[in-house]
Amino acid sequence: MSINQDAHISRLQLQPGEQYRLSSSGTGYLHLVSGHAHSQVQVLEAGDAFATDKDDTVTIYADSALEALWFELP
Amino acid sequence: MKYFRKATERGTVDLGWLKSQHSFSFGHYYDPAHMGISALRVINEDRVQPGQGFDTHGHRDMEIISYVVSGALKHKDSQGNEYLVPAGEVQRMSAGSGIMHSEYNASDSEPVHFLQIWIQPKFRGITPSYEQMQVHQHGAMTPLGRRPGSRVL
Repeated sequence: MSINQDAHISRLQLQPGEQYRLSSSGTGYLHLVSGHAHSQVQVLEAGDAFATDKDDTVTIYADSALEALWFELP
Repeated sequence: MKYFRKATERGTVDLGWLKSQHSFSFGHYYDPAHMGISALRVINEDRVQPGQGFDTHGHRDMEIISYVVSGALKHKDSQGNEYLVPAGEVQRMSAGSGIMHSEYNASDSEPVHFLQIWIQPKFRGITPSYEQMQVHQHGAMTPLGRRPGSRVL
């Protein structure tokens, strides 16, 4: 799917116990669509979201099956 | 992590036929602390009752992406696109120089649950366009969309 912006949208799906390391060379934004998760500093429920700065790294740990949208933004 | 948005603190709308939660300021919900992130301007989590929906209305210069979580959307626009968007599919409408569209719950019995996402465009005044696709998951992280020719971020 094409987008008229220097942005990437991806879908993250994890199973319970899995983890994923997020990083972006621009601003990142994760929106949890369903499931439960936590990071080093936050507990995430469905509908929660967070943004990251350029070159930040955040690891998401799935506490249930989860689906999220990950935006890499200019 | 420079910003955290708690789901329960989002703006809420309950019109009976529509229940919506706004991550960022939208419509009558305004909070200067939540105006979007970079080019990401809107994430509305909408639940629309059976047979109900958004009547024909206009947009311009916005990338409007719908991600259907459950149920199905019925889309119709002034470019002649008329499609059903079922759960798991993603739809992109580039409003560009101007487009009219309507969105309805395609079901007479089940609600539709979807995210509507607005991204501010890189180029204004482009020819309106429409795209819809089902994206199969490959691995934990699967790309849904990007600007053609853009470098990997």
